[in-house]
Parts: sequence; structure tokens; C-alpha cells
Amino acid sequence: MNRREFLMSSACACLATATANINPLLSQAASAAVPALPGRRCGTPPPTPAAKIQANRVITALRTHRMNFRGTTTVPIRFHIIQDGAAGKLTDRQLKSQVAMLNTIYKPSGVQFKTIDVAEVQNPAWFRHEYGTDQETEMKTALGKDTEGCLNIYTCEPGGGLLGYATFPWWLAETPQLDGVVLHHASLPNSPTPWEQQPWPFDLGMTAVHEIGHWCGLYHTFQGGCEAPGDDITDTPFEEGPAAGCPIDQPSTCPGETRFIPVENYMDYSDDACMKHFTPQQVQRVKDMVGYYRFKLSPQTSRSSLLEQIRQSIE
Amino acid sequence: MRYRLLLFALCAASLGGTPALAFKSIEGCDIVAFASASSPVPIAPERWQAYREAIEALLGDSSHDARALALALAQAEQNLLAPDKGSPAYQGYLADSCQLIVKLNGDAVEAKLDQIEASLPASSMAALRQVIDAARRQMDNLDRSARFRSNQDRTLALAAYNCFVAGLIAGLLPPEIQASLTLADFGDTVSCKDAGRTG
Repeated sequence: MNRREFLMSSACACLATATANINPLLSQAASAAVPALPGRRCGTPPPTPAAKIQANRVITALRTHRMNFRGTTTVPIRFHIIQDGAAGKLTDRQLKSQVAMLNTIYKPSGVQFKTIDVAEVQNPAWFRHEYGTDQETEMKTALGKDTEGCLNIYTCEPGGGLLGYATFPWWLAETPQLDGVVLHHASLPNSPTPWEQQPWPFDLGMTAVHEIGHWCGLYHTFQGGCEAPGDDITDTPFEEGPAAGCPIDQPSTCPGETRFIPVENYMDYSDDACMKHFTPQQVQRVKDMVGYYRFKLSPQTSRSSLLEQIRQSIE
Repeated sequence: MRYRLLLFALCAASLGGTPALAFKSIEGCDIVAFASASSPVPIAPERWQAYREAIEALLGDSSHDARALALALAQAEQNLLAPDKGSPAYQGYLADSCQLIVKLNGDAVEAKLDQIEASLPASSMAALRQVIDAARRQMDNLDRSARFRSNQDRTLALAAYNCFVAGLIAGLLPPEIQASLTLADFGDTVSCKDAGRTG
């Protein structure tokens, strides 16, 4: 199913039942987009989708069982401030502004954050580590604590042009020691000194918002490009690739997509000053993914038997 | 014993010069370009043979996990090109005609693995598939979960994984197939200039 066909089928489904829940459609589209694995030899399957489809099944099951996560989930944060001498040092004011910003932006999704620990660590190798290397594993294994019960944030200066990276909630069960968010130290707001690389339009704290979006189960708005099911969210437009700068009111380059490029969405790559919102479906997905996969943080213990029932039906 | 010595030499080399990163080697794309009959940087047949033997030795050594194996393989790719790195021909290639793979074509990769399969022991072939699979998964995980400073940074980061895979496969293909190989045979390409590759 190509993107145009997907849009057509979505539109038909909406016309047929104005209130229809289209998650099953998304699941179906996701299944269609993935080549059948049976019969294919081991080796080089398309590097993705099992987890993606699993997440869609979770959402479908939650809706089928009318499971809605209510109330506020408070996420304790442990900050690990990795430094090389004075490089990477952060002020209390920066950390407090970052958490305050997260609390404002994530309030509609019922997720709130509270700092419970800040530890400064001198380690030049971890400070400039590259994604996926032994240094990342060593750093997280040595410093990360209680990954099921809190959010570990590592600030440093990751290599390879990265502002930050995160783990998805569905990875938690398999690799709990790697769970958490890594942020470039110069991405936090209210820095007392300008970052050495100018221009630097990434110092308003939106990298943490973006990466915690991943940690809560959101994909980039440009995930999958113009191909269905994109980012698994129907109220974000299909987007061919990441946006840069802040090109507001630019039509999507995807054929048949009539909406503008979502440059103001936190899950795009635009400049920090450009980012302004999550869509309602992204907010709902955060509630679902945190409630289901990061259930130890959730206050809804009273409905845990239903959650267990849903879990068994899926897994 | 010979393979053990070779493996030791590769590991020792990896402790020297530029450290290789597991699953990543931007130079892998240069290997594909230099394998063709119209290569801008001619590489002697015996060096190709040594490269192939080095890869085969590593793939045949079952004592490594996928990450350690990938690290040694990436180092082997860099070792092949090391003698030419500073040459005018190599620098000219980087400045003018250099290309990178931005998106691997899964079917094309699979077809090339089929061409390699007959010449490798089953266990080595399994190790090769495991490394390629792990490289592609790590690249995909990075692409899904990271924020880059620019699209150029993103392109360059993802190309390092794709090029690692392509350089590995190119070294194991029969010479007659190598000679007609292009980067476009592996997927979508972009010029090094557009990707911001500087060295």
C-alpha cells in the first residue's frame, strides 16, 4: 500500500464511521508495509518493525479493552552530568528550567517530572562517546539506576553530530541497563555562557522534550518518509525527511499530502525556537506507551489486573 | 595458526591509528568505488586478496561476538585503504567524485549475499549475515531515536553504517563481479560534498 492508497483508505474509513478508531487500520497498514518474514532466510531482514507492530498491537488492545490511563504519572529523574574538566558543567538553574519546561509541555499527557538526584561525573571518554559503542554501555551500566522506576538522563557531548538520543519504552524489558536519554550539555536552556559552536539554535531545551518523546514511545514526524504508516500517528502529516530551520507553512513534499510540514512539532528536527506542540494523538500515544511499558511509574495500580490481561493477550 | 596471527595483527592495528567503530566505516564506500574496473585509485590484486583473507579469517573465528567482530572488520576496511589515504588520487577522489550510500536496498544486499554464499563456509556466512543485520539494526535504532544538529550530520552518520556493509560485501564478491560494481548497486547514493564528508 503506497501513501496515496493509505490516505484514500483512511478517508473511506472515516466516511464510513465518523467516530471509528483507526488504530486497527494502522496496524493493518504496518503489517502490509513489512515483507513477510516466513520463508525468508535469516540474515538481512529489513531492519525494523517487529517492535513497531508490537506497539500498534498494544494500542489496539488498549482501545479494545477500553483501557485509558488516567491521573498523573510522576517520573523521577536522575541527572548524570558527565564532564571533561570544566566542559559539560551545568548549573542548577539550567536543570530546574529544563524540568519546568518538561512539566509544562508534558502536562496534557499526564506525565510530570521531578529531579531526585544530580551527580557530576568526570570521564572524558564517556563525555565524548559515540552512539552504540562500548563507552555508551559502560557509562550507562556504571551510572544508571532503577531504570524501571525513573528516567536516567546523561548530559555529555556525544559525537557524530548528535544533539541527543533515547531508548524506546519497548526496549526496557530486554535491555534495562541501557534505558534513558542522552543529551548534549549545550542543549539545555539558560546556559550562562554561549556554546562555542555558533550559530547554535538548539539551546532552548527542546532536545530534552524531543528525546523524552522517544522515551515515551513517539517516533519522528518524518519516520517512514512518505510511506504509510509513517510515524503511526494520523494527525501528523507525512513528511519526506527531517525539517531544518523553521520553514513554516511549507506544503509537504509527499504526493497527495495536503497538510504543511510539521516544523512546529517537537518530534521534527526544526530549530528549538520553532518547536511548539505535540498533536492530540501524540499526547494519547504518550499516555498509552508510558502506561503500558513503563507501568511501574503509573499510578493506576487499581486496574493492573486489566493491564495484565491485556499484556497476556498480546504477548 | 596463520589466521590467528592475522587476527592478532588486525587487533593490534586497531589499537594504533584512528580507532574503528563497530558497525561503522565511511571508507567502506571508497572500497566499492575502488574495486571497479574504472577505479580512480588502483589497488593491487594482492592487496585485494589480503583484504579478502582478512575478512574471511575474522568471519571464521567464532570467538567474537557481533560487536567485536564488526569492530575488527571495520578496521580491516580501513587497513586496506591506509596506504593510499594521503595520495593525490585518493584526495582527488574525495574532492570530486566521492559518493556515499544513504539508503541500503535490502533486496540488493540479499542478492549480493547470495553471490557470496557459495564461496564461504556456512558458519562464516552466518557470521557475515549476523554482522550485517546488527549494523542495519543499530543504524535503524539510531535513526529512529536521535536528534541530529543537521540533515547533513544525519546523512553522514547513517552512511557510515551503510558503507561498512557495502565495503564488507564488496571484499567478498568474486573479482569479475567486483569490477562492475557501483555504489548505486547497493542503494541510494549522495555525493560526499552534499553529505559533508571532509576526510
